[in-house]
Amino acid sequence: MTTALQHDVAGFVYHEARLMDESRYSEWLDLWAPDALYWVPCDGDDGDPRNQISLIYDDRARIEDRVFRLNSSSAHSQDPPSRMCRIVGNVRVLSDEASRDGSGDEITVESSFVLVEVRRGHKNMYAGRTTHRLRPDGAGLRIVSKKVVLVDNDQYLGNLTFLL
Amino acid sequence: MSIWPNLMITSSQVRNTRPLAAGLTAVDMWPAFLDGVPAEVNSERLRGHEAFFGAASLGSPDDYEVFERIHVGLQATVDPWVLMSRGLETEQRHPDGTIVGAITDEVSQRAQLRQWLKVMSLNVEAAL
Repeated sequence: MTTALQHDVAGFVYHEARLMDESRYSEWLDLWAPDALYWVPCDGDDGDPRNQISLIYDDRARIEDRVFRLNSSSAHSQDPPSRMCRIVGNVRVLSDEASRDGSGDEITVESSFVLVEVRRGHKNMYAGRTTHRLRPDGAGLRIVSKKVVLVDNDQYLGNLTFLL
Repeated sequence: MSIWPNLMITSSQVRNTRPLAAGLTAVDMWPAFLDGVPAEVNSERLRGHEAFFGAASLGSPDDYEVFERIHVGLQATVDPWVLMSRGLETEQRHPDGTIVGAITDEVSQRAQLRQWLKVMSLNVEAAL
């Protein structure tokens, strides 16, 4: 892994965080690959999504449904939208074979986040660890898969209709 | 199907609603699997549940948003009422006492609150 690759990958993850913070749904959708998978586990970090419930388990079509609804005027749970600021850190490119050369193969990236979300007079704090699988695509990167492990995914959760 | 006061059983889930305090309610939902079907069918039921009922879904959070706004509205002292009259003119009463309305009528909501009022109005001292 080169320093330049680390820089590109971290920059991509920070850019995605900014789009999520600002509820720029369509621009966020553009980051995803056609064969995307977006997974936020529930009641633990590594359950089998085939027989265990998740908070989010979206293929590309469901991600598009999510963005279509958030862009519509009928998403009452995001009207008004959440105001958010998240710090993303501990960005680490895993040193598996695909990540090592970065010459066209997919890259696995781990990061952590702390997010403060404010909406209609209530302030909430969330934290978790994210694993991105990124694919070089032309001049940029696309998200092939993204797994977000919330530290409180086994607790009662409120309105999570913003982007994680 | 609603079982008074706080249990719901639908085609896809069992749901239990527990009021913890004024302004705080916990809702537990358990998606239900079907016996004797291919595993893919139950996986798809999970995906359907996630898409509509979960905390990050496209359905229930909108309902909860409405409930929370109603809760705020009910703090008003000027006109502290919720109109729950949908289907009141067209619902049908059967001889055995069953009341039947259209699916979007508020028959079940009226029944829930009617029973709530009845129980909360019992003579508590006599019950003790």
